[in-house]
Amino acid sequence: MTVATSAMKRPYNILVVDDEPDLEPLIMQRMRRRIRRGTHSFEFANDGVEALEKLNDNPEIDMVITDINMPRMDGLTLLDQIPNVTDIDVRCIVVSAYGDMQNIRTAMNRGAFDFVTKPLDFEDLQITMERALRHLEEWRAALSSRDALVALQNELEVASSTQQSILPKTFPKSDEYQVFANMEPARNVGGDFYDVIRLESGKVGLAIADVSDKGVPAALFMMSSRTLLKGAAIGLAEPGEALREVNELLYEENETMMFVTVLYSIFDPASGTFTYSNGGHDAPVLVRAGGGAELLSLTGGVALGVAPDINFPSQTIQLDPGDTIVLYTDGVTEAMNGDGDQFGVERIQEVFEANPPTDSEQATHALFDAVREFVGDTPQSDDITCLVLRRAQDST
Amino acid sequence: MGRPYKILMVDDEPDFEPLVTQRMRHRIRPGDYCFVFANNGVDALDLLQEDQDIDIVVSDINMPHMDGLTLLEQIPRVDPSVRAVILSAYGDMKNIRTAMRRGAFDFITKPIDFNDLEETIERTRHHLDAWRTALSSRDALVTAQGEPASSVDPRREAEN
Repeated sequence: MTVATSAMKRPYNILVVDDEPDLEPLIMQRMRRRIRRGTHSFEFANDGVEALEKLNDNPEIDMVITDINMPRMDGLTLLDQIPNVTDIDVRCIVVSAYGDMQNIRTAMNRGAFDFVTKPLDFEDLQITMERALRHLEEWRAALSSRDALVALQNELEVASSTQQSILPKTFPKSDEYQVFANMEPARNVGGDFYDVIRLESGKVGLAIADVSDKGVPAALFMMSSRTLLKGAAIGLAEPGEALREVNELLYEENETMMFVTVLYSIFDPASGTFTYSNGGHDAPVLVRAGGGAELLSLTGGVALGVAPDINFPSQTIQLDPGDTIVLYTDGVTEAMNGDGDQFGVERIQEVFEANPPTDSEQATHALFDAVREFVGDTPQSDDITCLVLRRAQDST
Repeated sequence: MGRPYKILMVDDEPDFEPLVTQRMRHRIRPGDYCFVFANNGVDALDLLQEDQDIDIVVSDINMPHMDGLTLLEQIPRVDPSVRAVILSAYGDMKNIRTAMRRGAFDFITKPIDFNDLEETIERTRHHLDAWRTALSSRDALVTAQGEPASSVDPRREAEN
């Protein structure tokens, strides 16, 4: 919002309302520099009625400078009528007799921006005019932010539903295992994602990730991260190799300097092995069928997109029937309550120790419910995402 | 309705406070307005600095230490979101014009016509509400666009 650009756009249209015929040539003469430079243009009306007609005809009028005493409709009545003219946004300056306090006060209370007195002091008029125009300019800039916000919010809604639509909503559910996941974005669009990728030999790839930023840029980065990961996951049989390839691809074209933390894992239902590799993400929680929840050890990888040639070691553990793996983003652990305390990873463990998961969907909801109860009315500041894998109790 | 509108009244006359409190009690009692008082411009600036909730300053012109016209110039430096209304002697056109040029939102003449004061406070309040709504959507826009907020206080630009 710069006032300095005013010379580049249309001139300010100023409507001068007075029944004295001498005023028009006087204004044109005293304002000739502004008129010649094209910054201001003037129109004239003889009374309030004519002024209203001009305002109705020309929504581009920015300012009204009006006398008070005029035939047909006086200046104070005109002030009252101006808000009824739609599609205009004007500032009004009233010209009053010197010391006519009563009319000046009435004019101000009827919404005049300012006043000047007769005989016209052109210096004061010019200062007052410029002050009113600057005010108008700032107001319009603020309004345009409001309009832009509405437009952006509409676009964000589309972006959000697009983004939500690429996250899987149906999950594998077999006699051997179940998967369920959910993401609740902090804003309309988020930087978290999860994915469930069917691989050869009945294996399944499970990913959870968190992009460093929020809002639209993060959502775009998230979309490309997800696509790259899916491609790598299908081509490569080992989680660490998939992360390595995604990292190289993200790094090559990462001008935004964003990064993404990813935990990618492959579950083999036939053997019950769970192989995971960590790119700077939080450690998975393993809830044992016999009770107890532990954090799996990290594998040493860093966030993706920052540096090239990084190795992402993988680790394999054995899931017994009834064991559950909980993947989550820091939106869960860093969810804050009114006292500024964070949910923390211990609470995730406590949730599942207190109520051992019976089902991956139930476990996902249990964790979201616990987070919601913990934060209470505190606004959500980050995306909250959780993915749960459960090896069926009676799988062998 | 939110918190009461907080109005800082600045005048060196000792009977000013009881007069305002008495005449505005119908606005004070239901929690529409809340008044704080200062005796001069220096005290007024101190109060403004301490109390971020002040919405409107209504100030006399002639006062010891710092007069109302100087106070007008100082207010945006302390709190750019505050609007100022000047109290002037009836018909003192010179001071009124100076005050308006220095960015006063409006003026009131003395002796105070309390209906006029109330009407003026209401107009100032509507103006401020509209501004704040517009500015908050600008902040929301900046946030939604995922850009760092400008280090410039946008409200400063709103000053005249």
